[in-house]
Amino acid sequence: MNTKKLFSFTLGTLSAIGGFIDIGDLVADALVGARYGLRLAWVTGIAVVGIMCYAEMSGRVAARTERPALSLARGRMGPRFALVSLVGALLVTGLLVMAELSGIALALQLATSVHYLLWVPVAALLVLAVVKFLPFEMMERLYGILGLTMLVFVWAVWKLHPDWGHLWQSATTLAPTTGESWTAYFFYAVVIIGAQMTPYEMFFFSSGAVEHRWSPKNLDEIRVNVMVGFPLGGLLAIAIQATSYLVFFPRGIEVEHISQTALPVAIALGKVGLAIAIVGIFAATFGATLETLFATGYDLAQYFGWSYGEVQKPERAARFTVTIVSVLLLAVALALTTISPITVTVYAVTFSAMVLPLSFLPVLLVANDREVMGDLVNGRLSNSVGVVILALSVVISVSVLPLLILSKAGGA
Amino acid sequence: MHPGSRRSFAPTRATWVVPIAVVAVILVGLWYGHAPPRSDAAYRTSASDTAGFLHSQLETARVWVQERPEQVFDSSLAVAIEESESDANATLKRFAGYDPPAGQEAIRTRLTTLGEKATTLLAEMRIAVHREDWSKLEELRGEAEKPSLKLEELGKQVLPQ
Repeated sequence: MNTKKLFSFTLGTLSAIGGFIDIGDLVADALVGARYGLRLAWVTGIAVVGIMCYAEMSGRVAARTERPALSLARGRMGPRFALVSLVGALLVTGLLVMAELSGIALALQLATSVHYLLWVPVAALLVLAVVKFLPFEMMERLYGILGLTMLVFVWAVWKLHPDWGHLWQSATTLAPTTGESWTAYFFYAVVIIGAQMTPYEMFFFSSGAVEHRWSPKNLDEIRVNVMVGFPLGGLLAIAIQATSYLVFFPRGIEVEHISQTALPVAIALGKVGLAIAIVGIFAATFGATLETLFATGYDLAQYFGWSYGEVQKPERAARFTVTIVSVLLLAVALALTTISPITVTVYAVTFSAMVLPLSFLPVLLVANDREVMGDLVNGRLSNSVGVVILALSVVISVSVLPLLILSKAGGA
Repeated sequence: MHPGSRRSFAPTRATWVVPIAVVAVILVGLWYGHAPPRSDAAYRTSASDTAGFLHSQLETARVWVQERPEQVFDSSLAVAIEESESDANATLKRFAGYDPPAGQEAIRTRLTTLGEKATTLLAEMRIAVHREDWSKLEELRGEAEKPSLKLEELGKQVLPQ
């Protein structure tokens, strides 16, 4: 492997690690860690396997066909399915744009003590500036690399000197903590799934593959990004759960704010650690804002057959550009209503879990079509894992609403 | 299409059932999740949750103050205290708005008294941070320990068995 290719592989993988965490993870993992310790770490494991499987499939479909998987699948499954899938994806991703944008503002608030609502329009302008002036690949790499600062959570776990046996015991106990109901436990399992297996990651990965003009010869790069990047991203998520557990659980503290997510890092590593964590939160939410924004643009453009893409000049993908700007403005407006971004995040990831089958099924069908995929058609491993994950997503989808109601959104 | 068979595009009964069912489920969910507690058990559960949240909010502020100045920035500390105060006020206000069932007035009195103590301490912490009165802040952190513990105990005591 030559140096340029190695560099590209490394950058891609690092970007996948850094890009895995978003506000859903920051909120859900800290909340779950404070309440259940590592008793839901197994869910992270399943979520990582699921997103690896389907992201690899989406990338492979895009590399073979030079079209995003969902665009192909919707064409085959008919307009009604395509419309339902589009509406579901847009609702979830649209809410997430607002939550991620607020996440940027919350990180800036934590650094400056200026109220986050004042930062929301500034964050939106920053996002627009990056979209306009930075090339797509540089944008991806930049927030991916900066997102690696989230590794400070792994360092913080170490510096908090945990009882590793106790952590292992927590991670291997598949039951709620004393005094907690099974309903709430499973509700939070769904929240973790929704936070870590978000459809927008697949849309973005797949459409990004088309933007990069990936072909079958990029398959190795796609696979390394997915197989190394996502599991290490999952490790970051578990580190957030662990730090939250070690600091908040003994004190009976519930996590309700992003500032609490960063507090264990400050306790472990001092101001330097806190500063790095704030940069990490900023980078993670900034990157996720870009991804969710592009995902909504890609989704609409692919449904209506508009030209799209960051690699094109805005005037050549005018409707795509207008969509992105409009969604961003709507997100700003929603944020400025002062609705809690944490509440929006929890509901958004919950509904994300509900629409998972609508995203997975089309990808699985296309990836199994030998006429479309040729020699890159799904093998036994992809199909086995893909079918299990799809079945699980159907169970999750059906149980989300009852769990949400019966657990009173985790309050019971 | 056969001229004798006119396909109707008017919504059928089945088409209306699904959206009505979805709306009904959402309304039931909202009622279940947000209706005020009416029974003794529901009220006591709500009191326990409220005490738990107030304890959490007060304790969060105490931990931030404890880590000052070496471990945290004053700007982050200010944000955290403001968040805790705002949350505690909202938590207490929500509980105080519920009418206690007959015989549960004592729980309401105990919890609102402790809750007001917690919110007052958090407000004073916020003021101390803004004034950079660090010795006062440390003093308040110490003062908040007892109410925090009392809230935690109360939360366990009132939980229905």
